[in-house]
Amino acid sequence: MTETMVPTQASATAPQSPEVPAPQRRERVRFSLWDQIMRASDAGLAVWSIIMFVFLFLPIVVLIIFSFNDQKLNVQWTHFTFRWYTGTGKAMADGGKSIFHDPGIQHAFLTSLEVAVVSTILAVIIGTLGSFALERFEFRTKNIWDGLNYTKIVVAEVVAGVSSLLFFVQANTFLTKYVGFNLWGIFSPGFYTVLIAHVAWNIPFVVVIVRARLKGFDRAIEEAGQDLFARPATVFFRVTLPVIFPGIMAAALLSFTLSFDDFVTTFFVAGPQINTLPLQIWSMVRMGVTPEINAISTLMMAFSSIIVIVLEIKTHISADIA
Amino acid sequence: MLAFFLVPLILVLVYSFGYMGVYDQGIHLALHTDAKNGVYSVLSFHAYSQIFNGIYFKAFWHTALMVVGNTVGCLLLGYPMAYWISLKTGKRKTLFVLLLMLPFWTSFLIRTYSWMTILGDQGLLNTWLKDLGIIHHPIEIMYTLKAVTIGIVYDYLPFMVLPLFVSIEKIDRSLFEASKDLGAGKWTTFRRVTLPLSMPGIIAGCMLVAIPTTGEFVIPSILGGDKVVLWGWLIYQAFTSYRDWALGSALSNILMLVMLAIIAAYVKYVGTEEF
Repeated sequence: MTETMVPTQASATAPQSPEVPAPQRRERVRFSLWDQIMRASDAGLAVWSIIMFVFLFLPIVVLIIFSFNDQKLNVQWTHFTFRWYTGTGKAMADGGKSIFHDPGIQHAFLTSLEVAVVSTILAVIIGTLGSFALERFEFRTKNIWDGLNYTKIVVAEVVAGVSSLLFFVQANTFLTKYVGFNLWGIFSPGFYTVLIAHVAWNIPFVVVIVRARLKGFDRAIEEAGQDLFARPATVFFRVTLPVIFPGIMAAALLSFTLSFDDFVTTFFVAGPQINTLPLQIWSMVRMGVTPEINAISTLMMAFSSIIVIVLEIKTHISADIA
Repeated sequence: MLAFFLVPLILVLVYSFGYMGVYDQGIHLALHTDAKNGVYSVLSFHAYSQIFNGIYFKAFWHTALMVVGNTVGCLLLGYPMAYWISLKTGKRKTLFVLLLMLPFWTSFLIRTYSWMTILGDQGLLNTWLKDLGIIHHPIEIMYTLKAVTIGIVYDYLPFMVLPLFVSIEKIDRSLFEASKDLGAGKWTTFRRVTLPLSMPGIIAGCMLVAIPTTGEFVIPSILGGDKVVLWGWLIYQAFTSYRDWALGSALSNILMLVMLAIIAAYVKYVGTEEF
């Protein structure tokens, strides 16, 4: 197949520049079957990709459309309505609630936001410090930490959730029984267990992203700062931090998303005291989802799309996430 | 990190050698079992002996098939897409990459649930097919392996496409031209240049898809209606419905052990450079 000569063709990927004369058309040689398939494949590639995008977006589009559906069950389309958003229009006679009139959902949403914001801040601080340690310094246990960092990413989430549950239960009992002081009960299932689990879960992702940014860092500019008599703190805040900042932002964004949307780990460590939005959705999926959930998802998606678009325009953050 | 990660995993190991029950008050190690008081013998193989059972072998086999099928499926579906996006330039490329990431910004529970609206007996798909006169009775997709497979491939596809895209994009374009100048056709260029150079992306994508699939329980639960038995679903059931933490821990251990064995084998025979 390698020896098969194929007349060069101008293609979309490599437009021929005008200075280069078009190569003489050689005598027709045998095309490999695969080459012919690939030749026809440019259009096929586009069609395939579009089908895949449709596949990816079909449920999301259906979700959005059904948030305007005037029926309590997400089964068949009936009429267009805003009632799941506004609570007005047709009376909510079927017992449905709109997102602005349902304290349960609002409370779950705020809890999720709270957990996501706090855990992101903590994970980004710890993860950034950790990535500095792993990238800039040599120490004896470095390999172990490095390995652990990846192991965490490599373990299936259900195992992480189960093991966190056992850990919290055991730690709480141990502290209460043998130490006599249970750290204000932070290990009994509730807000703090969810928070700790999310921080622990997000740190490895922060480390991976920030470290990648630190790897491409030109240390000469830090030295230049030192040569100009900047104190180490000044060098860090005026030189190092601005350079790695896009990486930190990307890590924070990923961490926030993972935390806000996390179901599996949260499910195991939460207990009855705390209800996050994914937990709320889970219980509603089991009981029957009303378009209320579609409505809140649509709003959240619109909101996060706007944030991402603004960030993309300002900082080209997609490069760092990818 | 050591405290919040390694210790929990060791605890799973300890719990797995216990007797069945719910231990939400923690355990005390002892040589005899007294489940009522949370006293816990360290060497009971009860949980493991339960697993030596046809149902569990079958679940293991199904999970393995699902993991391999999902990974290969995502790779085959995703590679052309990643390749196509990488050929785009400028704003268009950014747009498609953002579109790829957009699904991550909706709750994955909700996206999975949304498939119920599409695939159900009275769902959109069946309604359309009926209206078009193609079928007369609804096709049964919901609560079968088909629905679970669709859901899993759907949820993991972006995790495959993103790393693929990144690694294909990194390939120096002049290598394609060089290959063409040397008389290689498109297929040969793909096979000898693009494919080998995108290997890191393929490996990263496969790991990102395969590993979480092993413990997947949400999709089998929602789209499979608790009828499709996968390993992760069994762990979830052990901790919730069966109320047998020892069994759940034992199942988790087996999962972890298998994963470690596969990764160790990979590192031994392929090396660590690709990580």
